[in-house]
Amino acid sequence: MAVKLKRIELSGFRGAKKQLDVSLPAAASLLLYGENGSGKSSLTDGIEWFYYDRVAHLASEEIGRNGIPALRNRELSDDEDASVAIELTKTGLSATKTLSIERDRHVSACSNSSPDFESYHAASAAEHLLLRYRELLQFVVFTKAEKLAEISEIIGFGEVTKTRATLRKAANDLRRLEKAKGFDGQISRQQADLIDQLGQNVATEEQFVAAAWDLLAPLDLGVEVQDAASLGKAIAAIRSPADDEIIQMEMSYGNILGAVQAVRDRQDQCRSAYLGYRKKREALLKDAEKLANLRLEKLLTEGVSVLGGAWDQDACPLCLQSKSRAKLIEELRSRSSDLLALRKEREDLEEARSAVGSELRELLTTAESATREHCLDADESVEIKAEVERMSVALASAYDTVSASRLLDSVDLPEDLPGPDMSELEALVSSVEAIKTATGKRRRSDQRFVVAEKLLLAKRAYEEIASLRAEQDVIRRQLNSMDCIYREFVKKERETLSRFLDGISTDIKDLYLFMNTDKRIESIRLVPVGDGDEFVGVRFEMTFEGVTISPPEMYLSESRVNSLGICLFLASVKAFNKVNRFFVLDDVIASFDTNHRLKFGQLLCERFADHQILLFTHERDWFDLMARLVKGSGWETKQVAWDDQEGAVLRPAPTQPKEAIANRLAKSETDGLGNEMRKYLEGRLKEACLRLEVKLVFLNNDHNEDRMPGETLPGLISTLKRRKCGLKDEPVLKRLLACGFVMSRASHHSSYSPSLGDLKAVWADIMEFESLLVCSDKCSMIGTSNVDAAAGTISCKCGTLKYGWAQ
Amino acid sequence: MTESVKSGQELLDDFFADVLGINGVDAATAQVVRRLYEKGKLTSTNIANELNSLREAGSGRQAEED
Repeated sequence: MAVKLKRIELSGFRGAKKQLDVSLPAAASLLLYGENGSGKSSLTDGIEWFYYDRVAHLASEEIGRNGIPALRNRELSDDEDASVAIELTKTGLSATKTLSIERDRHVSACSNSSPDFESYHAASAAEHLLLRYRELLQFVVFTKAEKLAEISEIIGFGEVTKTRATLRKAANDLRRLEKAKGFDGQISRQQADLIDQLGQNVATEEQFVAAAWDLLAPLDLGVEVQDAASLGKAIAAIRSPADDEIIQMEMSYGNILGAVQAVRDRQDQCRSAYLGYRKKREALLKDAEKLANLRLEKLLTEGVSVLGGAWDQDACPLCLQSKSRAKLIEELRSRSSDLLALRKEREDLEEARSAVGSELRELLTTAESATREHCLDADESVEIKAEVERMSVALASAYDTVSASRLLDSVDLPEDLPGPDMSELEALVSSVEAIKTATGKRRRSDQRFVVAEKLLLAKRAYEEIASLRAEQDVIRRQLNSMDCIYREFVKKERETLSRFLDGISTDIKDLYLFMNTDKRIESIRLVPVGDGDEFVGVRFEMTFEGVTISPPEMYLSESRVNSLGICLFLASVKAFNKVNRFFVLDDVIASFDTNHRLKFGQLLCERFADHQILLFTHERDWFDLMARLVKGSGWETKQVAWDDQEGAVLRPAPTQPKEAIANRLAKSETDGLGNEMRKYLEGRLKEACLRLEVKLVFLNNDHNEDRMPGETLPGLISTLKRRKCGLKDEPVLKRLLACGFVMSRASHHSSYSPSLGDLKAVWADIMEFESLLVCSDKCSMIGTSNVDAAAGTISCKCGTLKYGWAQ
Repeated sequence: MTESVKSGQELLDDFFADVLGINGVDAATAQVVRRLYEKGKLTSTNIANELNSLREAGSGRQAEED
């Protein structure tokens, strides 16, 4: 069941010096009027702090990261608590949050520590519960990367992005490993050895057996070699332990030869990777601003890791200020996401370093394995042993240089890769080949030894090839799998993100066009911006008469850009607020013209009728308009005013102008009444002109809004005539033109002072005029939105009033 | 329309629950990835280590058979 508010009580909190108690019976929506500085935003601040542990607009270097020091009412003594109490429709979730001073530190506490509340609070922190004017433009003017970060935050895609990076890295690690192993080179070397021994290449066991038989046949052993088992018996027949020892030495030298050849053959590849890494690193180190931001990124990432691990207190580990650990992690992640592009650059650099490191590690492993070959224990191997060990030490030095290099410190890397000297490697290859050949030389007059030597060395090469291929297959299988998993993940991510963007785009467009009826707008979309398989951002696109424009603020007025911001907020409320069914709109229509205000009010009433809306405003006209719209719909209408003793206090809603005028007429209070009547008529005429699309001469800026009855009434009459509307001949229209004189003179200091009778007559005319346009306070005026073109009529919303209307 | 969108967490849970069914994926590799995700230990280092252990276990078995 979605949760709504039943009561909000502030005490010693922001503008509420004493208590500010707002009761919402039956979880009613609230229309709250309050002049600037009256304290109405204290309610918004209270809700924000209750749910998010922060008041973002108060966060600053001076006040503090979350605005906490500014929350207690300044007249509260240090031994008193500031508090925000919220009562909700769901039992067990109500709570009071207090903010006290303990040992010069602000300490918050919550009265409800039940698992249900903790769970509700955590879920609510992810929802969009309030919107202030200053936040309207934020999303619209964000960069595309910021928009992606915000969207990712909204739909919880932070972990998805991180997981994608993990899977990609895992696949790349395998790719690097395969390359570093140098399988193709190793297999080629073994095949060369195999050909050298057998005089031909063999790919299958049958071919090996056949080639072996070619060598064995001349020995006349009296055995037929047809398969691996009979071959093994034949080889055993010609072997001797002494010969085995020689052949084992040859094999050992062969291993060293393979290792040195591998190092020699991959040296250039390593050097090239190293130089690429060095170049990227130097370029980054030269950019001081990037470097500073990257250093900060690491701190933020480490901070998240620390907070998620060993640190379990609700306080910042650096400044020890009290802070929800969950909120701190959220903030760090948010700031970290601001550095997305830089993080990619850093990742590329790390990737380059890893690539070099992998190559060197494999070569080092190979070299170290060579130093342990038993043939190096022989007296004749002393020099070779020294060279092999020197090669290994040089590779270790190269590996240490690269792996120890910090990405972002200013220590220069050597211009060239420190490692074994190529000429020394070539010399070592020659030395090992020579000593290997020389090892069996004295026994090569014995044909049996020669054949046994060839077959054993060939068998070893053949088995080594099989082993290498098997190892390569396993790694390739794992790599293919990781690539498939990564590709499928990216696909799912794109599908989900695109579906979200399409869905919310549909909602935004629907809401926007409700507020801004403009048939030339064909679509409004949030569009993903990609770089290869990665999303790097999101941008707003608008298609206007077939032309796509982005960003929309290039061509839209401030009012329309603001309405775009409101539409995004409302769309995200619909999409993601699953737990709570309320939201707060605090002075969001500041830049809206009259047309937008009316449409916005209608949007809230019609499209969010199932939501509890807390709508705050300091604009009296807007308040009056909304009060009319919501009358009879169960909304609470109240007023917040400032009292020097009490601070922000709640008062009954200001009386509607119509009721106020009627009351004063009833009490014969004429002072200033003509002016009130004039203002009322002006408002109704402006509304009528808007609804009936009356054409008036354009005026600049606010003059366009300040239309007097002297302009609007003739304009209205002209439109009624042009449309052949039955209203055109109503006598009250002419009387209103005359009423203008009375009201105008009554509004100014003049010798003419209208009598009570005059004013009653004027008011009766105004009421009669109004009754022609709208059937009741609960309905809307006749307007072009209720035109029946086929019947040629125009009506009020419910259809009670209907008149002819020519097209 | 937006009511039907999965959250990031749902996407991850669903993806790793079905990872063995992805076309072309080796079962052992998929199981490693899923197991690490379920334990909350899905990092590139852990994946590399687990896959290396799989390779070594496989070559050990092969050596025994030989």
